Parts: sequence; structure tokens; C-alpha cells
Amino acid sequence: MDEKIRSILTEHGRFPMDVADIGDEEDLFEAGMTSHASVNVMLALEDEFDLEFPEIMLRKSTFESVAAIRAALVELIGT
Amino acid sequence: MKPVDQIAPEGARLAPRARALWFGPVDRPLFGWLHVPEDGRARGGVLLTPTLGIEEVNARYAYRRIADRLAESGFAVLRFDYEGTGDSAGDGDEPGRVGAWLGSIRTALELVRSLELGRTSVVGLRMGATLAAEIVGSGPAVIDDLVLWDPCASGRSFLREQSALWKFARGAESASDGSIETPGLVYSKDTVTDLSECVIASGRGQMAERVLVLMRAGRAGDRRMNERLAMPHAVRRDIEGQEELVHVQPDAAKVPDETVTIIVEWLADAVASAPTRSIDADVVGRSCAVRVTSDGATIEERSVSLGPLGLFGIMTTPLACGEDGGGADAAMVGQLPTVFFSNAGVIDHVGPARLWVQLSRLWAEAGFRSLRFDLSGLGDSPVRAGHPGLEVLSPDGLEDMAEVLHAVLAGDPTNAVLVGLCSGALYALEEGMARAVRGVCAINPILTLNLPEPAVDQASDPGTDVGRREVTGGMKGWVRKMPAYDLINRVVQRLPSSAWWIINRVAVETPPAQRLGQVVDAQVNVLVIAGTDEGRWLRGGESRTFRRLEDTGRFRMEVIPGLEHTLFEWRTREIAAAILTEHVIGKFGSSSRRD
Repeated sequence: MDEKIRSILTEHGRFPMDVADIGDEEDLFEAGMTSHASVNVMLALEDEFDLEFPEIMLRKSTFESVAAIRAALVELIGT
Repeated sequence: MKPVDQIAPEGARLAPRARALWFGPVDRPLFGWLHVPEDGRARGGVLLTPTLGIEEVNARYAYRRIADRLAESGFAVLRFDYEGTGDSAGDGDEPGRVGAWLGSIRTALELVRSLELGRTSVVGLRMGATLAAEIVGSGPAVIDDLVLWDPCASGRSFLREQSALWKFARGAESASDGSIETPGLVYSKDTVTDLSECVIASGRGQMAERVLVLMRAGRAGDRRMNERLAMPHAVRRDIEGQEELVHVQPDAAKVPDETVTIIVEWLADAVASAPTRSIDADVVGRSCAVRVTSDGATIEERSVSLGPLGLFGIMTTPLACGEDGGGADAAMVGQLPTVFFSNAGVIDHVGPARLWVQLSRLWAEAGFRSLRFDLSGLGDSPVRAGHPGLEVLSPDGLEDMAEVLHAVLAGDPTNAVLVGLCSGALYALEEGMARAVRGVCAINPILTLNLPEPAVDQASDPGTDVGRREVTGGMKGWVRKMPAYDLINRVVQRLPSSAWWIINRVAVETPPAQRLGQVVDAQVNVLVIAGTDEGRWLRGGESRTFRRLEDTGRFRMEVIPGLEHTLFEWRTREIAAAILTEHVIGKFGSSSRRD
């Protein structure tokens, strides 16, 4: 799962750095992900994992770190 | 001294042959541009249906580009604004919006059909595709070709994305009343319900004789939509560059030229051997829109072509009072300053979230004539030779403003109030000072910016009286050359006022307080509206200077907590609009020449 998350972040996150250099708990928005890019990340995750984030998860904190994204996905689809 | 051209009497035009027009119901006219081939003969008609919200802002220039390209390929092309959006009549918060948008498409389609050009085609981007599909999705095909360009599977999916974008950007929460807030717009509960019912998969008709579906490469897309669009007569192509067009800030949006070419070539294929038919664009639609206000006053909106370059603008003019005395006093109207609204960054003449349109119409009821216009290379204005267009800080901005002021107010270029946001506010302050206009309203002005130097092939025309000037006084050169300048910029936004005092002394050529003081000292009445961060940075610990400015009676600064820089947040935008209205009508709404 982490590999897929990081692959999506690399493709859609528009980071000014290598995603591999971003720690699991590190703030992705602080690392340079814009709000526009985060929507693209959200849509790509939905495509990849064939799901739709529910309304309650459509908040910045859901996508603020690799760990947060992983936690949200685990909650939706299990491990 | 060579006089510059005044306002072209025939209205606004854009090379090679495009004409601004109003069409549809006289009491609810729609605004659009009709592009026709250079020789005035077309093989087919194309309607471009716009998307919604901030995506529409991002895609405006792409639509202009594709309309030009299609006209070069032999098509007559209509691009337009839905009712309540852009320069069309109505407001975005009226009831029945979705019905109005669908009605706008039908009206625009009628106009294209009325040209009797054989094939009629529709190109829709994002929600423009979804709404177009809503029109043509059921029953027998009523158009020949349909291009669904990165379509939203449904209104719901569009709203969900836009809502998420706003929540991620602003930390906003969902509203409890069923409305959805997005960048620049709030969709009412009814609009959310109606828009959510627009689903591409729900139709059963063939949509068009030929259908081109352009989907983002690497994206699976909505399953039901994919099934619906898997029609024998539909061609699916993957495209790149959509994220760079619609999922970036407006000033970063890039026209996906490769996609534009795919669309133009696909449409051109169908008319390669079709006969051409002559079109007289001048007789299509109307050159102005006239509106009667609730108290009987008459207000006219007219597209204008300004100065030697033919910069595009829309002039809103109060024509006459109502019989019951409603509207402004006719004698007073001639004395009031003309209000000029320019671009907010790359956002065109409609201003941030269409604010310039709303204020133009509101202030016209108080007797003000106003012009909302596009700087060269932005919106619907021509690009100066040698420039790429879509420049946030165009080196030609001041020259453009000077030409516009001269074209409109040749007799007295000081009888003006300039309104601008961000870089537009910088231009307004600089040009306002140079011309000693009556007033400047600057919203979130960026006063530490230096405009790029003009291109070497863009020497000022020595024959005009509007020679090129440069904006200086921003960050010192050594600061801008620092390798970590962008990072420093981000960090300093969080510093307190005392730190800004030091920065403004050390790193800025002319501190913002001094720059504002120069404008006020030129006898210009200045209103500055700023958000909390911008206000702290503008004040920069210079409270003594600001007290001096306020003591002149010509300076007012209002800080609105939480004001989003581009005014895309509606609550604080409403506050800013109320302050602007109260200030302009209060300060300049009488015939006295100096305040």
C-alpha cells in the first residue's frame, strides 16, 4: 500500500523534492503539496483503490501525511 | 504628439476575426464571442460550452485559443458565458441556476444553428461537457459532432472535487444547510440537488452523429460513464495536460496545445469537403445590452476596443433616470469619475469571482460609468508582439493602463477611480500616482514586486503620450537573486510586524508605507483593503507613517481578518465589496472634483 501511495504522490503531488525523502509522518503540505495537487492525489487514490473517500474524510488532515493517507485507506478497505 | 485611438465605435474585436456580442433574451442577454474565419466563409459551426467556477477561470484562455484555432480551420465558433456568470445577465445566487445554464446552452446552440453552416458541433470541457451531454444525451441526435473534453461524470463529482479543493485550501467545514462552498462560489442547496442530477451515464440517446471522448491518460474514470460512452460511433482518446490546465492556480494554468490540436483536427476531418458559406459576423447578435433596473433607471453595457492595440473592455453606463426619479441624477452622472477595473493577476476583466461585473452594475445604479478591461495578453485583449500572453506581471501593464485611461478620458484623464487587486492594485497605485487620478482602491496590493523589464523589441512608441514606465521599489536585486528567495518568501509571511519593519528597511527598495505615501502625496484618494497577513506586511511597523497618511484625509486602510488574497472566499469578499461600495459612492458620488 505504501508503495502505491508514494507512487501516486510522486505522479500527482507536484513536490519540489523526491517523495522518497519525505518521512511517513512528515506534513505533505509543508513539503510543498498544493491544495490543487492534493485533490489530484485524492482522485488518483480513489482510482487506484477503487473507492470513494466519504464526505467526513474530505478534509486536509486525511491527506496531510503518508501515514494519514494509509490510515484512511486502511479504514476504508482494510489492510 | 500622436493621439492614440479612442474607443472603436463598432465594439470589441479580436484578431483575426472575432466579435464580442450579446444574444438571447433581450431582458436576460448572454455574452459571447463569435470567431469566424479570416475570409468570412465557414464550413461548420462550433459551440464551446464552458465549465464552472475556478475551472472556468483557468480555462478561459484555452477557450480563446481553441476558438481561434477552429476559426483558422474554417469554423464559425461561439464561446459564451452562462446566465449569471461572466458578462452575461443575472447573478450566480439566483434560484434555478442549473436550468438557466442548460437554457443558456440551448440559446447558444440556436444561434450557431441560425448561421446555417451545415454541421453543428459542440465542445465541452469538464462540466461544460456534462451540461452539454444533458442537452443532447437523450432522444435523437440534434448535433453532428460532440467533444467531451475530460468530462465530469456528474455534477456531484464536480462539486465533490471543488468542495474538497476548498476544504484542503482553507480548512473549511461542510455547511449544514446543504450548500457547497467552492473557490469563488457557493452553490445553494437547490443548485447542488439540480447539478447532482446531471449524470452523463443517465442519457440513452446517441448524443451526436460523431462523439470524441477525451479522457485523462492513466485515469480509469467513472465506470458508469465509461460504459455509457462506449458507443460504436464514439472515439476515445487519452490526453495529457489536464491537471496543468484545471488543477492549478489560475496564474499557473497552461493551455494544452496538443489537446487543442486533437479537437481541431477531429472536427476539421468532418468538414474537409463541405462547402463554405459566407457569414456576416456584424449582423449576428447585438453589440450592447440594455438593462432597466428595479427603480426604472436604464443601464447599458457595451463592449469596447481601446487604444492603438485594441484592448478589450466592457463599459457599463447609466443612460437615463427612471420616470419615477429612480437611478442617478443625469446632471451628476456626467461629473462623476469613471471607475476602471483591471485584471486581478491573470483573472480577466470580470475580476475575482465576478466581483467587477457585480460592482459595475451596482455602481451604475448610483450614476457611475465604469470600464472593466483586460491588459494586453490577458482575458480577451490582444497580445503585444513578442510577448507570450498570460503574464501575471506584464511589463506592459502600466502602458496598457495609460492607453486605456487616455482612450476613455482623453479630455481629463484625472477624473478616474482605479480599482485593482494584487498585481492589478499595484498597477492602479502606480498609474494613479502618475496621472494624479481622483482615487485608487487597492485590494491586497503587492508592493514588494518589481515588474520585469520590457522586452528589448518592445520599445515605447515615441509618438504617443503614454510612454513606457517601469514599476520599481520592490525587493532589492540582491534579495531576489538569493538562491533560497522562494523559501525565504514563504517563511517571512509568518513574521510579526516588527520583523517586517526590519525587512522593509533592509530588503525592500521602497517600503510599502512610503510607496503608499507617494500616491497619497500626489493628491490621490487611496483606499487599501487587505487581509490580515497582507495588512501586517503593508503596515510593516510604520504606524507613524500611516497616521500621517490618515491625517491627510486621503488615505484609508481596512484590514479584513481572513480575507483570502484573491477574494475567493465569499464572506470576506462580501465585506470587501461593501467597503468598496460605501467608499466609492461616499467619496466620489457627488460632483465635487476633489475630496
